[in-house]
Amino acid sequence: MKIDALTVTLRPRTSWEAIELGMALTRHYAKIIWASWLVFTLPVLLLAHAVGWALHRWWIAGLLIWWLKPLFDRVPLYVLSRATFGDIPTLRQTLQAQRRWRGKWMWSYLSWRRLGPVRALYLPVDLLEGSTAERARVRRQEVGSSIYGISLLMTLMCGLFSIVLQLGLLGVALLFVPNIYLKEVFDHAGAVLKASPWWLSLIINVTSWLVMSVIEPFYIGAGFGLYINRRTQLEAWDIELTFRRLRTRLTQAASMLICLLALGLAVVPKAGHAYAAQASANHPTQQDADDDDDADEREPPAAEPKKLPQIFGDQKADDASFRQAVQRAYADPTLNPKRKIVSWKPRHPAPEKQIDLPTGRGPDLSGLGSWIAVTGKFILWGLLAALVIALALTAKRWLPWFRDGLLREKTGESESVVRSEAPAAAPLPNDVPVAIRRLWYGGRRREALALLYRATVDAMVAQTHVMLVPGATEAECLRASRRLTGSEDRDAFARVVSMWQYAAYAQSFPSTEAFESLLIELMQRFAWGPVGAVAGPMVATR
Amino acid sequence: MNLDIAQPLIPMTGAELTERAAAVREEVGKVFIGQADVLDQILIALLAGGHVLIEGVPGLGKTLLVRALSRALDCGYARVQFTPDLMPSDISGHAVWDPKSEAFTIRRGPIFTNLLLADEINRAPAKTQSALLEAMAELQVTIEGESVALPPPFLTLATQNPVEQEGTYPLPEAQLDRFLLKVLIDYPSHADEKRMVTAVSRGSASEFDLSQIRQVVRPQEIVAMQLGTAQTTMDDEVIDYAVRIVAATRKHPGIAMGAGPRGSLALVRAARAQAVLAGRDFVTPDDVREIAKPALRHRIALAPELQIEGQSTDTVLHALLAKVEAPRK
Repeated sequence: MKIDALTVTLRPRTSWEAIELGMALTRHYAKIIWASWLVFTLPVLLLAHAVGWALHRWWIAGLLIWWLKPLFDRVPLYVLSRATFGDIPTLRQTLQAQRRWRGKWMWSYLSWRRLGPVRALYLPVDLLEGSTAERARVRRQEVGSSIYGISLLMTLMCGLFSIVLQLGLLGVALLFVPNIYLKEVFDHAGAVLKASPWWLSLIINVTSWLVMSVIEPFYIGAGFGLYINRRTQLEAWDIELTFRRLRTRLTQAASMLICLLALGLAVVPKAGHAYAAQASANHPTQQDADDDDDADEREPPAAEPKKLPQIFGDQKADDASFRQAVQRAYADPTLNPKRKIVSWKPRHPAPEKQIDLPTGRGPDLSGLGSWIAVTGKFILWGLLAALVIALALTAKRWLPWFRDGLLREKTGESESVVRSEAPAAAPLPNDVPVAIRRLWYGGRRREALALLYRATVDAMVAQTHVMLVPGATEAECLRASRRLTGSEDRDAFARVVSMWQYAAYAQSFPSTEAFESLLIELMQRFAWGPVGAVAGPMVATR
Repeated sequence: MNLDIAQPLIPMTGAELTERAAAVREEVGKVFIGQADVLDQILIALLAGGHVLIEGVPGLGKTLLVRALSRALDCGYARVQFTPDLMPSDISGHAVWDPKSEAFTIRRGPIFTNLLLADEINRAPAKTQSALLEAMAELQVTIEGESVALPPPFLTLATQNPVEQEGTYPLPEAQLDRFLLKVLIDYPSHADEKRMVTAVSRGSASEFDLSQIRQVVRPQEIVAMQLGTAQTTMDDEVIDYAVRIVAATRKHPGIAMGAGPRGSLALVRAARAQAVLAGRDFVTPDDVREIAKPALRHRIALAPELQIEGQSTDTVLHALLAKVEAPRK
C-alpha cells in the first residue's frame, strides 16, 4: 500500500472526526460514487420488481433491494478506496471491479452477516485487504475492537436518518392534499394500508431505494473513514509517512552531498571514482526542478549512488581484517548488553500450600468458577436454543405482525378494544324483505326495523360509496345519504331513519300498513331480493 | 323570586317542555349573537341541572349571557370576580354580630342566587375554589356550621381564560368533575360580529338593550323543566352507547386518564337535555354524540406525547367517537 500517495492528511483523529472524514470523502467523490451507484442499482431495482410482479408479491422487491445492500455497498467502497490513494476510478473501472470481485465475501454478507451492525467497518477489512478467512477474522477483531461501539452508533444513526427520510418522502404527498380533503385522506389511509394495493408497495419500494441511495454511500464512506483512521493508529501510517517524507528530503540532501563528494574526488586521479562522481553530478539540476510531491518518481535515480561498486570502486577490502572488525563489533558490550543479578534463594523451598495458609487467603475456587462459567455458558446456549424453537413454533402468530406492520397491528388492537364491547351485528340475510317481514309478523318489530335500517344504510353506502365509521349515528347516515342521486331515494332513507329512531328510542312503532308501504317502496327503490335474483349492490353483506 | 321548594312540582314534559326551552333560547339569542352552540350548551346545563365551565378569552359576552338569561328566566344573578385574595366567606357568607339583637346573624354571600357567574375562577386559590364544591354538588352552603339550602334553580357559570396562565390556580380534577359541561367559547364570525355591533351602536347606549328580552319562564317552571328533562325517554341501547363512550376513554391509547362513572352520568343527563332542546321527548345516539365533547373534555387527560404534539382533547374525543359503534339493533 502506497501510503505516501494518500490524498488525505493523516493525523491522529477521534472516531467521530474519522466518520466526518469519510463523509467528506464521499462528498468529494460524489459524482463518480452516485453515477456508479445508479448504474449498478437501478437495473437490480427493476429486476427485483419484475420478480415481485411475476410472483404478485411486490413486497418481495423491497425485501430484495434491502437484502442486497452489502452488494451495493461495494460500489462506493471501491471508489473511495481507490480515490483516497489518488487513483480516481472511472465508471467503467468501478463496474468492472464489481465483476472482478464476483462473490468475494458476499455469501457471508448476504447470509449470516446480513444483519451485522458494523458492516461499513468490516467491509473494507474483508474486501480491500484480501486476507484469508482466518486472517480476516483476526483483522476484524484488531480493527473493530476499540471502535465497535462508535461504528454501531453510526449504523443506528444512518438507520434513523433512513427512516426519517422515508417517512418524510411519503409525507410529502400529504403536502399536496388540500386541507379540506385531509380528513378524508386520513380516514381512507387505514383502509388503503389494510388493502395494501400494488401501487402502495411500489411507492414504498421506490422511496426506500431513493433513501438507500442517499444514505448508503455516506454510511460506507463513514465506515471507510473509521477504517483508515484505525489503520493509521495501528500501523502508525502518519509516522511512517513522516519518515518517508523525511527520507525524500534526506535523499535529496544526500545526492547533493554525493555531488560535492564527487567534485572533491574529481581532483584525485582515480578513474573509477571520477566515473561515480560524474554520474552523480547529473542529478542536482533535475532534482531542483522537481517538487516534493514527485519524490517517489525520483526514487530510482536517487538509489543509484547506493551501489557500492560505483561509489567505492572494484577494489575489495582485506577479508581478514574485516572479519576481525566484525568480531570486535559483536564483542562490544554496548551492542549486546548483559547484566548479572545476584539474589538469595532458599535451597529447599517450602510447599506453596504452607506458605498460603498464614496469609489468610481462602481456598482456591478457580475450578469452581470455571465450572460455573462453563455451565452458565451451556445454560445460556440452551436458553437461546429454546427461544429460537419457541419463535419457530409461534411463527404463525408473529409473522403476520411483521408482514402487516406495527401501525396496522396497533390500530387493529385499539379498534378491537373499543369494538369488542359492542356485540357485532349479524350479517345481512340473503333475502332482506323476507327476513324483515318474518321478524315483523313474528312480533319482533324492533328487530325488524333494525334490520330494515341496517339494510337501507348498506344500500345507501353501496350506492354513494361513502365510508361510514363504526360510530356513525343516524344523523351522520342522513348526511351521507345526501349523496344519493334521486331525491325520492333521499326521502325514503330519511323516512326509514325516522321510523327507526321512533321505534328504537321512543318505543313508538309504526302501523303495519305504514311499515309495509315503506318496505315495498324500498324494495322497488333498492331492488332488494335474494342473492342472484336481483341486480345491484344492495345485497352485499356487511 | 325564590322558589318555595316545599311545594310539590309537576314535571313539565312533552311539547310544553320543548316549546319553553325553545322560547328561552330565542329570547336570549336576541342579544347573545353568534354563539348559538354556546347558548345551547348553557341551556342544556340548565335543563339538566348541572353547572358549566366556560373557557374563552375575555370580551365574548359571558356576563351579557348571564344577565340575559336571568332576565328571560326571571331569576336572580350574581357575578363574583375571583382574585387571589378572595376568601371562601366572601362567596358563601359569614356570621356578623348584630348589636341590636345582641346575636350573630348570617349574612349570605353572593352565592345565594340562581345564576352565579364565577368569573376567572382559576385566579382564586384552591380553598376558595373548593368553597364552590359543596354548593355545586349539594346545592347548599355551610356557614358557621349551619347548612343553608340554595334557592333552586342554581346554575354556576364559571369562566377561565385559556391564556395568561401566570399566577393562576388550575382547577383540580375533583372540582372539574363537578361541572356538567365545559363549554369553549370562541370569537364570533364576521357576519355575527357585524350584526352585534350594529345592534349595540344603534342607540345611545354602549351595550345591549336587555329590555327587549321577554320573561318566558319563571324559576318554578325551570325546576319543573329540569324534572321533565330527567324523565325524557332514553332507551337502554342509548344508555349503553353513552357508557361505552365513557368506558372507551379509559382504554384509548391517547388518553392518560379517562372519565369516571360521573362522566357517564353527566353524559346521560346532558343527552336528555340535548334531546329536549332538539324538540324530542326521547334521546337518540346523536344526542349523546352531540354533547359528548362538552361533557367529557374536562374529565379526561391526554397522554403526554399527544400534549407535546399539540393535540387537543376534542381531536382525541372525535377519533374516539368515530370508533365506538352506534346502536343499530
